[in-house]
Amino acid sequence: MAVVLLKGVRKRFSGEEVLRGVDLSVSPGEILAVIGLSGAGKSTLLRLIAGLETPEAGEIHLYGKPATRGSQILLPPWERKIGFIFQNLALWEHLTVYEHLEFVNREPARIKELLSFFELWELRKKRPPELSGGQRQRLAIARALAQEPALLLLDEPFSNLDMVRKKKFRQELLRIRERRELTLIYVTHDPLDVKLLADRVAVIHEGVILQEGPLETLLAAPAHPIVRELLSF
Amino acid sequence: MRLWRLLARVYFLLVFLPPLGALFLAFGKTLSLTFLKDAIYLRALSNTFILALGATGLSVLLSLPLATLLAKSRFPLARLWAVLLAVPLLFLPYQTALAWSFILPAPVLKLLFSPWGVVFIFTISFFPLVFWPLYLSFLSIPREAEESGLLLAPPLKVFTRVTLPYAKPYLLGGAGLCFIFSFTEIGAPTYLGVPVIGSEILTRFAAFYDLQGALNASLPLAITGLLFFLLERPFVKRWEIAPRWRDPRGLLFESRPFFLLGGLFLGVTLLVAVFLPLSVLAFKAFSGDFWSVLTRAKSPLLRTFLYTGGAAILAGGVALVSQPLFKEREKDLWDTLALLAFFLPSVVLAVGLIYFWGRFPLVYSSWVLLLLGLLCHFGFLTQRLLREAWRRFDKGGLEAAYLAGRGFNAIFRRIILPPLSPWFGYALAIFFIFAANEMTLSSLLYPPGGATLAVTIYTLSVNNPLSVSAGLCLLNTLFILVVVSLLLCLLRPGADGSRSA
Ligand SMILES: Nc1ncnc2c1ncn2[C@@H]1O[C@H](COP(=O)(O)OP(=O)(O)OP(=O)(O)O)[C@@H](O)[C@H]1O
Ligand SMILES: [Mg+2]
Repeated sequence: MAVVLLKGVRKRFSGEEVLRGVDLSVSPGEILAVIGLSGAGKSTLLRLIAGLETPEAGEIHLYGKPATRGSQILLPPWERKIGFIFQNLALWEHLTVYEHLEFVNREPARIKELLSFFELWELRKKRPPELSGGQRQRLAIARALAQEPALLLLDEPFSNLDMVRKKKFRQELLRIRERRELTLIYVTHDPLDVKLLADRVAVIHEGVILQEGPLETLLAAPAHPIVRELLSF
Repeated sequence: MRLWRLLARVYFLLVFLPPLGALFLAFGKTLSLTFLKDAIYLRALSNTFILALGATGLSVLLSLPLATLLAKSRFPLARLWAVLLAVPLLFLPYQTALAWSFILPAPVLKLLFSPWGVVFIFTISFFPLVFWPLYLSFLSIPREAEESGLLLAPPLKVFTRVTLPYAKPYLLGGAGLCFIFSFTEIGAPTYLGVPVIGSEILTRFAAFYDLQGALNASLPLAITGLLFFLLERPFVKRWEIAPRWRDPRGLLFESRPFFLLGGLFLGVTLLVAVFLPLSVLAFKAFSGDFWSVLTRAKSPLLRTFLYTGGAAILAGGVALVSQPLFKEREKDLWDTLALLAFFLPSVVLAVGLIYFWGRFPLVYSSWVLLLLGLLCHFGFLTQRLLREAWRRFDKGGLEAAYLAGRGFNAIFRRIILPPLSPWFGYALAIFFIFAANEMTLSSLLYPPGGATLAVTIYTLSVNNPLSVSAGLCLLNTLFILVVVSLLLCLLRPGADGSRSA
């Protein structure tokens, strides 16, 4: 059974159709990379899965249950068990590191475990403006994991990291997935991220998923010149 | 550039230092606390606090649901309603009180002429000071911050745990403004027969010309103003006067009952605070001899236009020019002085101005004193707004212009002015609205035979046909509306990306 299943999802913004019939299926424990030109609708796709955006048509199923049908949200965002790491992290500036996790998960033991894992325990009394870029990023991940999501969505999580941090972050993601059954969908611009992290990659272009599959397959037989363009180094 | 900087410094010193310094010295030197034994005084003092607190509390209660409805749902025509909710700022509270005294039937009228009535009038006059900052802050919360809450918890919890904390500094700032304005307003309470400290001091000064008495009596007000000044830093420090306008998505309440109840609440508020007072006043004014009102109002109107318009342009101009001239630290200094003068109740400030400038007959007995008073009391508004504009201005472009070897004047005109001019327009408009509706300061400072319209309304309110007062008030509102609309059209703030984006 697929964790995420999209059937013919369409989305338009002020008359302009951004997604025109997206079909997608992601299996449990899989890591899917989504790649595409700027403005292709990658963020919109993730937001639709999370229930933050309503489509015009199509169906979205989560864990085998219908979540969105047509433009009707059947499962509200807070019942979807989805962790979302936004492009700008979206931390709550008025809350301390500890309070961030407390809002999400009431168990002190679990909070401590997560904060220690992400090396944030010492910083638990600080607020986002006092944290460094890397620390903020780790807090965003810790917050997303604190709700014990079955599905983690990441919107260009690597874009603001230096090379060293990027490497560490990739390893962290892989480590997290090993520890527990977690499905990951992430948006990226970097073919290297796809190569090192993803089981499968979906190329989104002109409102549809142009091609999907393992990286090697796509590189060996690209369906469209843009696929090679996006995925080659 | 050096000359401009010098001129700006002289301006700041001349406007802010004399009254503040004089007050500081006078309070230290000749303080007598005998007024504390005066029962009338004490009653007025306690009235003042109770009225201001009541009005502030009610304004917050009124503004929270309204701001939530208009910023956190897809309520139709939300921006139009929000703008309409600012209209009470164009009314003198006295005029709202007057209108409601026409509306209410005799049995309830007694209630209006009581502290309850004053709280009611203050609330419907000053709640936009709470509503607008709150509304803007609701609109400017990063949408993802709310959405990452929505992935975890239902909207109501996200609202209380994420949205409200974000808006807190704005809410507190707005509530502070509302308190200070209700605290120093004298027109409405005088008309409704409720003694407050501002009118007490004004009478004391006007009737007995007892400056020292007025000064002593204003000590509690000065302390309160100072308290607000000191509290602003820790509580409202993140307050941007004009927050960034973002796409108002993120948290949304979309249930039908919320729309219906909210719409009803909005309608009643607009009816009570805007439409009823305005139409009743118009009706009353036109049933009297409106033509004689017009002739009588002509020269006060002209004076209001000259004094407040001149003050607005001067304050706005200096604030604009000083942005590139001063380092942040020096701006902090001038802003602090201006903030203090803004939070000092206008009665106190007026007393300070008279205390100092009384020694200079040329200033004291001319319109210069009123001009100085307006600049001092409201200069903070223009300075804060334009500083915010400057903060968002891309300094990279400025450096590029300097590197290109152009002089300061050319750079100011071509590079700095265009992006800042919409803000300049806002600043002038806001300054003008507050200054033209100002009654207390102008009542104390206007030159002999040179009353402004607000002063005329205040002095005529005692022994004139009410239809004349109604006509004058109506004229005042229309006048401010016309000037502000012209200003906003001319300087086209809509061209600013931060608003239309
Ligand atoms: N709220 C909105 N209102 C109007 N148009 C929108 C909105 N959100 C997105 N769009 C438009 O939809 C299209 C897809 O946007 P989206 O953010 O999903 O692209 P993206 O693939 O994530 O791009 P990027 O790589 O730049 O982040 C763009 O053309 C964008 O302008
Ligand atoms: Mg994107």
